[in-house]
This record gives sequence, structure tokens and C-alpha cells, in this order.
Amino acid sequence: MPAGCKNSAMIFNSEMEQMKEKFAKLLLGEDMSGGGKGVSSALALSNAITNLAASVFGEQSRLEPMTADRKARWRREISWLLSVADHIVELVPSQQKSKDGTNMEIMVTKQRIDLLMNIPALRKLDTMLIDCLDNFKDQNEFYYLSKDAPDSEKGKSKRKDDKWWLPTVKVPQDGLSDKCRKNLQSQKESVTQVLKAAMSINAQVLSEMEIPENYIEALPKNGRASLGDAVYRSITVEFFDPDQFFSTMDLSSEHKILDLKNRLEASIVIWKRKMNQKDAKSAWGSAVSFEKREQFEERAETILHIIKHRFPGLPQSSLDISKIQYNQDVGQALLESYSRILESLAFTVLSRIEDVLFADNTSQNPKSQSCKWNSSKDESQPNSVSPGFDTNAVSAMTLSDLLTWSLDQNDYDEKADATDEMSNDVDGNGQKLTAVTNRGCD
Amino acid sequence: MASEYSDDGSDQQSERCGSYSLSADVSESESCSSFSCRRFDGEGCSSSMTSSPRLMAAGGFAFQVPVIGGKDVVIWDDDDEKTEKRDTDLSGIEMMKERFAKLLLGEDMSGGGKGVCTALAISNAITNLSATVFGELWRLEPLAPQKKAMWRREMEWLLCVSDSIVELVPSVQQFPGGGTYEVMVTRPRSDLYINLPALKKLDAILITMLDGFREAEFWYVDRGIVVGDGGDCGAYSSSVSGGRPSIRQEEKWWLPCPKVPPNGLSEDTRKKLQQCRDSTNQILKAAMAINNSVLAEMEIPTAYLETLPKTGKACLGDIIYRYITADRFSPECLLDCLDLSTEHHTLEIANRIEAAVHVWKQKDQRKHMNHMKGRRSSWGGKVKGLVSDSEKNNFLSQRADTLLHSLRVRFPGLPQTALDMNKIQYNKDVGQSILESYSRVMESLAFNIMARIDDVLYVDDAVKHCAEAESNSLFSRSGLSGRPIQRRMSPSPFSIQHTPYASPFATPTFCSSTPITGSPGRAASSLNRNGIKEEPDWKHEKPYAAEFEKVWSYTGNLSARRVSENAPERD
Repeated sequence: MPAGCKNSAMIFNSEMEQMKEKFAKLLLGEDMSGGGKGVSSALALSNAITNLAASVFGEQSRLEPMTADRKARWRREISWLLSVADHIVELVPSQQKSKDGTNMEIMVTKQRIDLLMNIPALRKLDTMLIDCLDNFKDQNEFYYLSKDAPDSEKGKSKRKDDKWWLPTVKVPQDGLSDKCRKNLQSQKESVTQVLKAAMSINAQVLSEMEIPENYIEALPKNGRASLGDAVYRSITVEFFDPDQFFSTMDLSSEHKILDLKNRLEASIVIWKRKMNQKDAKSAWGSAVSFEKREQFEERAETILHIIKHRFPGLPQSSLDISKIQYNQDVGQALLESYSRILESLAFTVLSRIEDVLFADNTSQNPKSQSCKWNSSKDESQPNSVSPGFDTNAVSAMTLSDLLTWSLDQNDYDEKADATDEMSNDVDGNGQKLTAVTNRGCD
Repeated sequence: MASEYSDDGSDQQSERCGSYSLSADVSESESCSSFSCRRFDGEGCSSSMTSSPRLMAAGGFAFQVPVIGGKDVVIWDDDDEKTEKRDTDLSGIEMMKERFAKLLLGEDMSGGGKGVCTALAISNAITNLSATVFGELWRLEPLAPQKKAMWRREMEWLLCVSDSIVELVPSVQQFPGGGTYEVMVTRPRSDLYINLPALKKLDAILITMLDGFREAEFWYVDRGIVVGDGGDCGAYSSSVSGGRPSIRQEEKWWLPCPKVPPNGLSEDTRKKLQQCRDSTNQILKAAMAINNSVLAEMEIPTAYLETLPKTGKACLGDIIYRYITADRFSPECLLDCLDLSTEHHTLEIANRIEAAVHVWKQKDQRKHMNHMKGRRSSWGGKVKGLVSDSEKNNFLSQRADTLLHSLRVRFPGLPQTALDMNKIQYNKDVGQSILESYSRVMESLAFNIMARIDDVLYVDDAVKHCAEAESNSLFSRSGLSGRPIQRRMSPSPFSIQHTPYASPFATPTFCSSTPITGSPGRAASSLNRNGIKEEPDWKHEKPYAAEFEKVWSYTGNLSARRVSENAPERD
């Protein structure tokens, strides 16, 4: 065999070996002793995708193309993991013509519909993100200083957030050229679209996932216990008004909002179960009638819906986490984890674009430092929260302002100061958004 | 409970899509039963002697996934070697990914997570693969190249999981500046490390042996042709070589008939065949040993323990219980008294004894725990009572264990007991399941090859006898029969026509059938022309047979256990 052939054969073989090893570990469910105490395939795949993304994108700290080998590795390994989805099928009827011309209906296999629709979409989003990074291949207008550079060099572009490990952006003296700025803007638009799409797929898959038994067993006995008296009272008033409800709630920190969300979700599950149980006993013991329960459940769902729109960057609730952890469905696990990491990656890219735009803005308007550089999400941990933003306000403000409360669950304590600072300016979400709009940091 | 597999192995085109993907696609409930009776397609089932070998995998479950539509068939293009290699490589990757995907999905193609655990999935995959590849091993000839390639390739994938199974062991390492420290390092798990290379070697030996039959002196003729083959060597020899086939050939009508040259096989060939048979025997024993040791190591599933009856007496029935609890207990004596005439009965007895062993062991444990807990409260006489009770349980379980052991020694080829099947079914340890299924599959293969060799030797003997008889006077009374008497390696009571005895559990009757050694018993079989029965001289040829084929050849038992092959019969 000629040398080139041999080399490629060797590379090929080593790739095969890698793939086999990867699959072997997945099959063992991460339990290397082979003893069978590993996790289910679904969770193993989900973790594998998450870890792969962390290792590949974790170092994407600049707005520049991915290195070739990292890109190749990403493509190769993700395709291995997603190839499992090719074999998840369902039976569908189909018409066939037999030899004598009669129409016969037989069942044929076809890829499961949710995977058939979503996986190509997710792969497309994947490609879009990588291409976006590739876009900045030969740009020469902005550059990065290493994080160890002295403060004097960093000057006014110094990052004001806690992310000391990210390099500082430097733009030319007079800011970026128009062309560059326009390019950045358009990239931002498309990445925003990607982010929205990924989030919606993730939310959809999560909503389809089965509620695990562990979660149900850990629930309190009734809605009142789960909500707490105050909230319960607010929900069960005679005339329910969502705005009124929100005004009575303390939504000062992300932690509190998340807590409320968890409680509401728990109550909805409890009420749904009670409504489905049709126990004769329930007529006895509960003070709440069936119709009332239904009504409360609807109200709770309304509140959750509003929370979702007002605080799109909220971390995953405990129900979500529980669902992912105990999920057995391999297809759903693939979709959920893939969409989650694409969200993270999209958010990372978006942040990096924002960094550059901010630096540009600062250089042009040194006085208007009103755009507070609040803590943005910790994008180096794609494992955790899903970021988000208000769709309407995107064009009007910078992402960082929107995501004042999009904190990584791990470090929300540190960031609590930042949000408290922010919340002092506003006393309601609607106002918060408008306040930010007025700043016009763009 | 027979699970049959569609035999697509010979169809190369569908090889990729049809054979293994179909065979692997059994949903959970079927796979529970599928491992227990490994029927090789070509051999049919021991329980249903005349069943057709070409039965499709049984339906009726969540769904069966046949060929996944839309996949391209592999095309072997000889023109451009490079593209061919690339194509095969690419398709090889695709196949590998498909295989792993199916394993990950646990055989549940809906992806819903209701599949089996990895251990069982791999065990089934190995079993199904061997059924596909070796299922049609009806002749002693080399394996078709694509089947061989398929076997090697797929086993490599399935076994590569074991490469990642490790254990931590302490090891001493040196500091750079001297001094040692102990650190845990990984190394392959010891049972896999020892057994897997051995199994791979057995695998290679068997395949190579088959390759050795490339240009053999004997050949095969399909059954349908034999009947009309009367013209060849005259009515006489045709009646020998084609007229009345061996018992096995009768039962397994789909097996082709081996044919030898008119004067029989040459000495060399005969010797070679004999050597092959001997080494296959060794392989068989080795594989069985590995299989038994792995089964012994497997954890007893709680599902089994939960289904056990409450008392040992309920397990064993009155008779055996009385004997076990008697003052003087002799396992051999008890076994002699039991009706061990059919494999079915013996298996039932083995199951019951095993159940009793575990019932008593459990009671023992429970009593011990209670004893520990209740130590404070139980005083005086009560303590004594408890102690003696627990001792009794322990004592009885030991006796039952001994009995079981004797039974096993007497019937080395006993099929898998209920406990064995449960162990395999509920086993979660991937390494153990790989070893168990691989060794079981090797047993089957070795057994099949032995049976095929025996077929050829039988025909050869028949022809040689025929020739001898021709050279002697036809009417000589020195007793050469017109045809060799069929010596069953399994004794007569095991024939199909045998009427079952009453079960010893139902009525307290004893059947004092003494164990029959491998002497020929079936008068009906020897339709010999001259009405003279000949003492077969095979007895002398094969003295080893008697040792471990006391009542039963284990090869015969393997038929029910793993492969549907009845005892190789010899005349």
C-alpha cells in the first residue's frame, strides 16, 4: 500500500478503535468494573454528549474559528453518539402494490417522528454555529489580550464582570469599521435565532419527558403544602389576576423565582394526579372540590407561562433536572442533551459577540458607561443552566443587560450582589425591561 | 419456549440488514426465553423433533424490526480495490454503529427505554450471532468466507466491550528520588483476563478445524436425492448407505447424508477425523468448564429467591425429603432409587433439589439474623431450639447440595436448571454475561462438529462393514450382520417412543432402573437382514465413552440444553 494510503488506513483504524472504546464505555453505563451498576443508556448518552461539548467548546473564549482538529473531533464524536438515533424506529402503515395490482397496507419501520424532525434541525443549528465562528477567520479589526496582560493595557475595555479567565477585547482607537460592526450585528441576529430554536426544542423535549417516580414520591401531600400558605392563598383567591399575583410575590432574586417555579410545578403535578385518581376518598378528605382544583391548576399554569416569558433565562427547575436524570428514553435523551449544549454554545458565541460590541461601544462613547456589565451566564459550563432572553427586546439592548439574572446555579451566591444592585433600580419586570431599553447600549 | 431464528446467513446480500439485525431484534420478553434453549437453526429443536429449521423469529411482541428500510446493500466491487476497501470500511463502520446502537437501545427499537440491560443484550447478541453463522453447520466443510468474516468482525465488536472492563489493584511505584508509594492502577478484570483469551483460542481452533475439511474424501448428498440413489452400488450397499439412515438422520431429516468412497475412508482420513473428534471433545469439556464456573459465580437473582416455596419439603416432595432427612443419607443410593429415566425428569429433580438448597440456606441466614437480633430476648431453652433449628437448616442444605453434586456428576450433560436460566436472565454483570454466552456458544459449536464427525464415521463404518460382509460369505454364521447395529450413545429409555414413568413426586412408587451403560439396547433398530444381531465392536473402540456416559451421553443432553442435537448415534 502506498504511504498515503497506509497513513489514512492507520488513522482510520485508530478512529475505529476510539469509536469502539467510546461505545464500550457507553454500554458499560460508565461503570468500568463491568458489574452492571452503571447508568441507563439514555443517561450515559446524555452525559457523553454533555461532556463532549464541555471539552470541545469549553475553551472557546474568543470570537474566532474553532481549530481544525477540535472541529473534526467534534463532528466525528457527535456523529457517533447521534448515530444511535438512526436506529430508533417506529412502525407506520404504508401502502404497497402487490404483483397483481392490489393495494396492500403493511407496516414498515421509519425513524421515530420526533427524532426525524428534530435531529436534522439540531444538526443544522450546530453547523450554523460553527460557521458563525468560522466567519471571523481573517478579521483584523479587533483582537484579544490574554487575561494576564497588565491592567494598563486593558484600559477601559477591562472586563467588569467576574469572568477573569476570559481575555479582554481590544478594538481600534476609533472603534470598529461600519462593515465589521454590521457583520457582527448580523451574526448576532442569526446566533440569536439559533439560540431561540435550540431553547424551544429543549423545552419541548423536556415537556414530553415522563415525570419520574422519584419526583412524584418526593412531593408533598397537597398543593397547599407545596406552595406554602402565602402563595396558596394568592392562587386560591376568588378573582384571580396574574398581575396582582406577581405584585404580591417577592421576585427579587433568581433563586426566589426558581423556588416559586419549583413549587408551582410541584403543585400542578399533585393536582393533576389527584384529579386523575378518581378516588372516592378525595371527596371526604379534601376541602377542595374537583372543579376548584382544576381551576387552581389552570391558574398555576398561567403563572408558570408568564414566568417563562418574563424570565426566560431561568435555570432548570428541579422537575426538569429530575426528568433528565431518570429518563429512560434514549431518543429523548439525545434530543434534550444535544439541544441543551447547542443552547450553551449559542449563548457563548453570543456573549463573545457582545464582548466585542461592548468594547467597540466603549471606545466610541467613553462617557456612557451606563451599560453595566452584569454577570452573564457562565458559558464554560454547558452542563448547567439554559440562558435566555426576551425575544422582543433583543434588538433594543445588549444581551448582558437582559441576562442580569441568568446566573449559573453554582455561583448565584456571588452574583447575588450584582442582581440586587440591579433590582434596586426597578421594582417589576416589565419596568426592568423598559428601563434597560432606555439605556440603548448598542 | 423455542425461539427460532430466521436463517439468512447464506444470503450475502441481506447479510448486513437481515441476518443479525433481525436476530438481534427481539424485545425483552422474548429475549428472556431466547437464551435458554439455544437451538441452532439447522438442528431443529430437541423438544420438537420434526420441526422445520426455517422458522422465523416468533412474533407477538412489541414489535419485531425486520430489515431497516432504505439502507444500501453492500456491493462487492472487485474492480477498484481501493474504493472497495473504502466502501467496505465505510459500510463496516456503519454496521458497527448499527450494532452498538442496537445494544445501547437494549433491543428496544422504539428507543423508549424498555429494553434489556446491556449484559443481557450482549448475551443475546452473541447467541443470535452464533445461530446465524453456525446454524447451518450441516456438513463438515470450511465456513463460507463471508460467514467467517462476519463472525470475526461481529464478535470483535461484541467482545471489545470487555476491553474496557477493569478493576483497580494496588501497585507499588517509585518516587523519582527513591522511596515507594502505593497507587491503584487499573488492569483488566481477572476473570475476563484469564478466560477470554482461552475462549478466543477455542474459537480459532474450531474454525481452523472446519477449514481443514476443505478437500475431504467424503461428501454430502441431500436427503431427497438419496432415496433415488439406488442404482449406484447395487441394492445392497444402497440399503446400507442410503437405505435406512441412522436414528439421528431419521429425526433430522433436513441433514444431508454423508457419503464415503465405496471402500470407506482411507486410514489417514479416518485417523484425522478421529483426532478432530478427540480435540473437539476436549474443547467441549473446556467450554463447559468455563461456562459452569461463570454460572457458579453469577449472583442468584432475587426474582428466583422470591419464587421459591416456603419449605424444603414442598420443594422436594415427600420421598426425597424423607430420604434427605433420614439418619443415614447416601446420595448415590437415593439417586438410584429415583426415576431418572428421561432428561426431563432428571432436570425437574435437579431443579427441585436446587430450590431446596436455597430455601434452606435462606432459612439458615434468616435464623442467624434473627438469632443475632433476638439474642437478648431468647434465653435458655429457646436459644437451644433456635440453634438446633439453624443447624438443621444448614445441615439439610449441605445434604441437598451433595445430592445435587452427585446428580451432576452422574449426568454431566444436564441442561441448564431453572436457577441457571434465572441467573442468566437477571444478570447485570457485563463481563460475566460475555463469558457465559461465549462459552455456551463454543460448547454448541464443538458439539455440532463432533456430531458431524460422528455422522461421517458412522457412514464409513457402515460402508466398511458392508464391504466386509460382501467379502465374507453371506450366509456365514459368524455373525456379521448385514448392517452395523446402531449403538446409541444414549440408552433406550430415552427414545421418543418411551412411555414416561410416573413422576416420583406424584406417587410414591420407585422405579428401580439401573443405570444403563452405553450398550446397545434397541432391538427395534437393527433391522438386519439376516436376523443376526452383532455385538457391536464399537464398544471396544471407544472405551472412554463409558466413563462419562453412564446413563446418558452428555452430548445428548446438550441437545436440549444448547443445541438441538440428539446424541450422535452410531451403529
